[in-house]
This record gives sequence, structure tokens and C-alpha cells, in this order.
Amino acid sequence: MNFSVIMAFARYGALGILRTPAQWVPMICFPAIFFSFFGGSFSAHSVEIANMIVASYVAYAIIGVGILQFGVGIANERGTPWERYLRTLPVSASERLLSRVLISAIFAFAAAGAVVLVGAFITPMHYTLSQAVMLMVVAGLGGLPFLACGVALAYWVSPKAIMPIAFLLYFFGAFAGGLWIPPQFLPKFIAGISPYLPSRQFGEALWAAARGGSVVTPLLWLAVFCVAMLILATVGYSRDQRTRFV
Amino acid sequence: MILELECISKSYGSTLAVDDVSLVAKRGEIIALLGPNGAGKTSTIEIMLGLRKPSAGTVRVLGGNPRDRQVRSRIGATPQETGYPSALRVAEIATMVATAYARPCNVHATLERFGINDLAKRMAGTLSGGELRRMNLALAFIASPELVILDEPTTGLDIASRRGVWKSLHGAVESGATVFFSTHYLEEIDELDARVVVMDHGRIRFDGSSAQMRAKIGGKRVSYEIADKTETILARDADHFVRELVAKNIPFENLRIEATSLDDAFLELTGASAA
Repeated sequence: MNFSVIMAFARYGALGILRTPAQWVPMICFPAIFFSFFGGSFSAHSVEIANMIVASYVAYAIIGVGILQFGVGIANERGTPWERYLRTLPVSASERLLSRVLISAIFAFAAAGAVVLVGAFITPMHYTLSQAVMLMVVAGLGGLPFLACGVALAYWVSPKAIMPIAFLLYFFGAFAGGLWIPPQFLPKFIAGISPYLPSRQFGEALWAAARGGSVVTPLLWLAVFCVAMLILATVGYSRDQRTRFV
Repeated sequence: MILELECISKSYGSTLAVDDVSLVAKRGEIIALLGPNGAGKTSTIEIMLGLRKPSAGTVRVLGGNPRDRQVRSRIGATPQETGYPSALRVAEIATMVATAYARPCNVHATLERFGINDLAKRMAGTLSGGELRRMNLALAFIASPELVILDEPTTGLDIASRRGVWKSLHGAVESGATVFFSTHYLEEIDELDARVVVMDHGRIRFDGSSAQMRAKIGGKRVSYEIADKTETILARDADHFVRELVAKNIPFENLRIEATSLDDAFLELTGASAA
């Protein structure tokens, strides 16, 4: 592992994204804007409800970075002459992947931070220090399965189809997982499948963190999802390598 | 040995792209790989770069496997096409690439060497074709590589830019590097005093100097005009051919006898008909 390579690739990768507002504005601003439109009205009067809904939109923001930035980013670079060239450099695939994880972590932090910032202004949201720390830890851990999900998507969906499919999964997951509106207000049919969605379990973990409850069950659920996505990603990746580089 | 290909074959499904190719390059050599489109040049280069594995045979680059990091850190290559991240500046991309190497050269000095240091702050997405080619070369040379592998470094360049490229390649060889490049321009062989490897249908048809390549087809190019049309013939024995023309009383005009060109030799080697 060459740490300076990872840092350099992350730095210039992030710079390229920052210079292309179309790539970061939806990712960083949309969750905060959606929150101010919908989430804020649900949570105007109660600290507890405000805390929960802020946590929902934090989950929504992080899933967005995992699927839209990380997944779509890998899919779009896959098969380009630039990626082919990078493979001739003394840089390993895991170093390139880690640099991408680093970029995603930064953007996820920014996207979630924007939600919290808006929450602090328009809702009575209030976290104790221990709740805030727990929320950050759970947000970081719970975000990992969605990075794996992004890689799986990148290697199983063609670069041409990735955008619509990623957006569809993202919006459906957020809505049906009870992140936009709380689960008890979901339509009956959706409410039935909601508990089986990774987005819902991510929400459950963050809600538990926000009210100081146990996060073990939803995190275990997310760990299973993460392993499944990692297997899918690994199979997809090696299939792609076999067709292009053997 | 800098580069050793031993009985390399590469097939994609039922297509045999590289067919039993053996090739050795010594330190300080400059080797031009020629061949018509589809001859297997790119596959051969991809095998040297470790981007593909041969179906059969062994490849050793700088004594090792081209997929090893240690080996890759001593090779310079160029992107086949020029698809740089469009939102990064020239110097930023060069710095990013330089970081990958243990002992990179100074980025701006390298850009200067290829005449693009004044473009250092330009976004890669705004570079012209010639500027992109020079950027390709700068990246290939950013860490004083022992072996440089270039896929068509001069394709699409104007003559001034191509001269610049030749000068850089000469300089690299003088400083001890080995240069392997593919090209469609036959005059580059003489300009660079390169060893020539001609490929066709996946096989090596010729490997030697340009003088040997010319000698290979021998003969002369005889052309003359008859009824306002120009006829050109590659004659093994030009004297005999002209005597025949005279003996047959053929009313030719403007008879010319010229040495065969590398183009003639190339076309003959690759089985295409000589014009």
C-alpha cells in the first residue's frame, strides 16, 4: 500500500468532481433541500421527532453518495482509455479503490453535514454529545454496504444504463425505506416490504442511534447485506476483468 | 534483456490476433512496430504492458512479469487514446501520475521537455490533438523509465510536432532508455534509425534494419508513361525489364528507374500489392 498514491488519487479525483457542479450539487444539496421541504414540516415541534427525521435524511444523503457518486463514478470510468492507462502505472487496484472510498467518505460527510446544518436552523433538533458520536459512527459503518452496493451496480449494469437504474434504486430505496416520510405514513403495500430493504435498516440503525437505543439488530442486518453486495461486486469485477484484461 | 517475448500467441475466441511471436529487445534499442490495421500490434503491446495475458508463450519485461508493480514502475506508457479527466489541469494530471512512481522527475521540467509547460494550467479537456499527444509522451517519460512503450505516438500530428517527438525519443535513447513504438509512418524508421519489426496477420514478417528491409525486396521501381497513363512495376532485374520494353518496341515515355522505397518493402512484406 502506497499511502501517498491513495491521497494523490483521492485529491485529484475529488478536485475533478468539485469542478463539475453537475456531479456534486445533486449529491450534496438535494438531501438538505428535500429535508427543508418535507422533513422540516414533520419535525417542527418535537425535539425527538426532529432528531429522528434529521437521521432519516442523513441516511438518504449517505446512500446517495454510495450509489450515485461511488457506484456511478466507477461505472463511468470502467472501460475508458484513462482507466486502461492507469492500469499501466505502478498503482494497484486496491489503492485506486481506497482513493475512491476516501472521496466518497468526504462527500458523504458533506452531504450529511448539510442536512444537519439545515436541521439545526429550521427544526428544534438537539443531539447530546454521545448521541451525536453514535450517529456518526453508525452513519459511517452503515454507509459501507451502500459503497459495496455501488461497486456491484458498477460491474453488473452497463455504463449506459447505470444512471437511470441508480437513480431508480436510490429514490425507491429512500421512499420505501421510510427515509423521506416516516414508515408509519407509507402506503400499506410499501409498508409490507419496507422492513426488508437495506435503506430501511440503515434508517432503523440511525433512528436507534438518535434516540439512544440499541443499534445491533439493524447493523447485523446491514452486515449481511454488505456481505451479499461484496460477493456480487467481486463476481462482477472478476467477470469484467476476464473479459477486458485477459 | 529489456524485453523478451517467447512464442507468444493470443486468441480472442476463435480469432488468433497474435500468432507465435518471439521478440527480444536489448538496452538502448529503438524499435518500430509496423503493420496494417488488425495485424496484432495493439495486442502485442497490451501483452508487453501486462494489460493482457498471452494465451500461450512467456513474456518477460525488465526480467519480470509486466503485471508486477516493481516492473511497472520502470516502464513508461501512453494512453492509447487521449481520454484525460476533462476537469483536471495538465500539471495536475502529471503530478497525479508522477506520485505513482518512487522517483519521479520534476513535473514542470518534464512538461517543458515536451513543450507543454506553458499549458500546465490548462484543463485537459481543452487541449488540441497535437497537445494531447505531447502530454501522452510527457506522462510516459515522467519517471525516467528504462523502457518506453508507445502506441502510435505520432498518429495525427503535423510534421513539426512529429519532429519534436522524434527529438524526444532520440534524447531518451541517448540517456539509456529502450524505446518500443508502433507507427504507420515508414519514414520514422529512417528518422529514428530504428530497428523495424513488421507484423501482419498476427505474425512477425520481418525483423531487422531498414537497409535490410529494403534489400529484402531487392530490385528497382520502374515507371514510364504510355498513352498518357503511368505504369509502375517493381522489377527484380530492372535492366532486363527495360531491355524487354525496348525489344518489344513499346512506345514508352519518361522512363524512370528508382530505388525501391520502404513503402514498397512494407507492402511486399504484408502481402498487399505494390502500387
